[in-house]
Amino acid sequence: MTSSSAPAGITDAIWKLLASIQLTIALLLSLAATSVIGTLIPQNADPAGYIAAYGETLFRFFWVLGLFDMYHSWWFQVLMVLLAANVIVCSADRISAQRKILLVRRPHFRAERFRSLPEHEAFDESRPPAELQSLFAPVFAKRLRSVQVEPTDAGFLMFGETGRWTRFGVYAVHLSVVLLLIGGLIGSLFGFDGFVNIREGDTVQQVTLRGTGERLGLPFAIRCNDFSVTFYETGAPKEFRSSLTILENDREVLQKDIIVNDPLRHRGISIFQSSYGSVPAEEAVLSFTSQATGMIYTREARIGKEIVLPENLGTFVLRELSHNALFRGRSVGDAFVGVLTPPEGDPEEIILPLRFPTFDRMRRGAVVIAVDEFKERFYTGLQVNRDPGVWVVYAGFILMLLGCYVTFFMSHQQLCVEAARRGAKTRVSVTGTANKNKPALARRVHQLCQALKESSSP
Amino acid sequence: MTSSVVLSAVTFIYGVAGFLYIFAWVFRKPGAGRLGTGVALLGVTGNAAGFILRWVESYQLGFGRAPLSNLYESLIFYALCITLVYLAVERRTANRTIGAFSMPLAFLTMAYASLGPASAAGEMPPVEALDELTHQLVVFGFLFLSAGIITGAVWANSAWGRYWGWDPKETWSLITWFIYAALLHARMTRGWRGRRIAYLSIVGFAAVLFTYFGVNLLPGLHSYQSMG
Repeated sequence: MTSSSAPAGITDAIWKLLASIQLTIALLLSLAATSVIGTLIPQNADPAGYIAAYGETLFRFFWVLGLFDMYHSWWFQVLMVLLAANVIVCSADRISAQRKILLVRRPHFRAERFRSLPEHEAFDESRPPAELQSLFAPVFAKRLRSVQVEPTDAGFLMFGETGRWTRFGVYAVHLSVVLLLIGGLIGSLFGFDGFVNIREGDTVQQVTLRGTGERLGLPFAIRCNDFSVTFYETGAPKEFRSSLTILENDREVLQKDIIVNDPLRHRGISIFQSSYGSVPAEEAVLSFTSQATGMIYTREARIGKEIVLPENLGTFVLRELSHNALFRGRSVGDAFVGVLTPPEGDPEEIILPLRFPTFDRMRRGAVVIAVDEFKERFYTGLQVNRDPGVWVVYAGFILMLLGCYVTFFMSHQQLCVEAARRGAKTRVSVTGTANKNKPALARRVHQLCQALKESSSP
Repeated sequence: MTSSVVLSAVTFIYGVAGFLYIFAWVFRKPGAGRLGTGVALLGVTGNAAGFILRWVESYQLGFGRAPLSNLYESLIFYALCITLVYLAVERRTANRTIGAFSMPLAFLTMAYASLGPASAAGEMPPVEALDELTHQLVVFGFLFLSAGIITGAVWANSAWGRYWGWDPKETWSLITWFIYAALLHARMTRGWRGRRIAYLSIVGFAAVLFTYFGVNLLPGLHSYQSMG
């Protein structure tokens, strides 16, 4: 298989190994078998969860083998690099071995080879071979390439071929696999995969990278103008929508609403809707009703900022917006929690459930507090990534499909017609050979035979 | 008439066709086989009609889309494909023995179950012909598997921003691809034939079934796990 000029010894042995189809089959089946592991063990999850699921010993063992991120582990990458090397060396080796078939300008046809072929059709003709030759020549020229004529004792042989280029189909598939791996490599070297949460109204210019957790600056800023979420009747989220503006040097350059499956792309960077959440409200408008005078005082409250109440009613501090506030041990849902400190006496915790605006009346205190309004802010969770290798991968995809089609459904066919004078008649026999797809060859032989018959019928 | 009524009838019809094919094969009654073909043709027509009807219904429900978005719908399509491919094979080989395996498979698919290919003996077509048939179907399947993985990757890139994420569904389709790629190399360049290729193709088919059904037991992004 290898050329004799290759240096002997270890290089030769490695070349031979990389050029072997056994290695291809072994690598493909190893990749298939090992890939199963990553579908059984959840990938890139929290180590604490792994220890709980597998125990300390098994966890350490799996950790050493890189099974928690196995598709990026060194041994899996080695398998892929070996496959790429195998594909390249195999292809080079086979192209070199077949160069006389693949790269020759004028193919050599051997008459003996065609005479013993199984694909065979024949008919008798009254015209002499010399006359038939001039009739057959245009039929051959129209249907086949590299047409050659060889005189024989009793007549002539005419050769032609088609589809020599289809022998390259399999190498196109191999090249496509290499392109996919190169594209993946470009993506991991020059691309990034990050995420960022932006509160409504806020602008960010940095994202957090997945895996490492590092911060990465973007060549532009993203502002979230608005976020909205709609729900199905079942309570499942139906659609998240973020209205985003892209700013470059504080200038608005692009505005788009994104939803799941409909991202925004700018400067090769894609921004996808991936999650959302709400930011605890930090401000609320509260009303304080004095029981003594009936006066209502409205104040803007901020978390942690003390409000001095009129009529010597004391002070009030808003502490937090709780999603699961407890009142006498029972949950009252979302509620603001604050502390009222009267001029005399102990501070008192005040619960202001959002669902029950008049809740605080039940306390029968000197002042009744209620939430007049507050604004809940959402944040949108965006996935931000860049993959410059994607076009190489797509080129690989197209090449793979075309290559597979050519490899599986097309073939290199060589055809031969022999005309030989036997007494008063000329025997015309048509044969052919193909590197694959015998039924298609049989059809081709039959069609050529019919065309030759027609050309010679008066 | 709703698609679900039509499709339950199809399940029954496929069951009858499968029974006729098995009957014809076991008791060597070619008449039952011919009847089986007729029933299978009726079934496949109903299957296609049910598929189209479900498509039309999706528009009436206001969210028109091809009925391929959950396990139930993809199984209907799978059964349709099995039967169409089988009927084409039957026409080409003029042999109904395979029907005793593929029609029950179509029936079980319609009845939401899965069944691997059983070992076959008796009046199957000659071994060489089966080997060639397997090869042609693998070649055909490999091209479509590649196309399926590729279109899936293009979709994933436009929807989720990555063309490949080692999601279990993606990974299992790739595992299947690896197995069939190994099979094609073994056969086309190493000259493997017969038993060894048959074993590899059974492993490949098991991977197809797992990609289809088993993956739903694993965590992932794909929504086919719900019967909806």
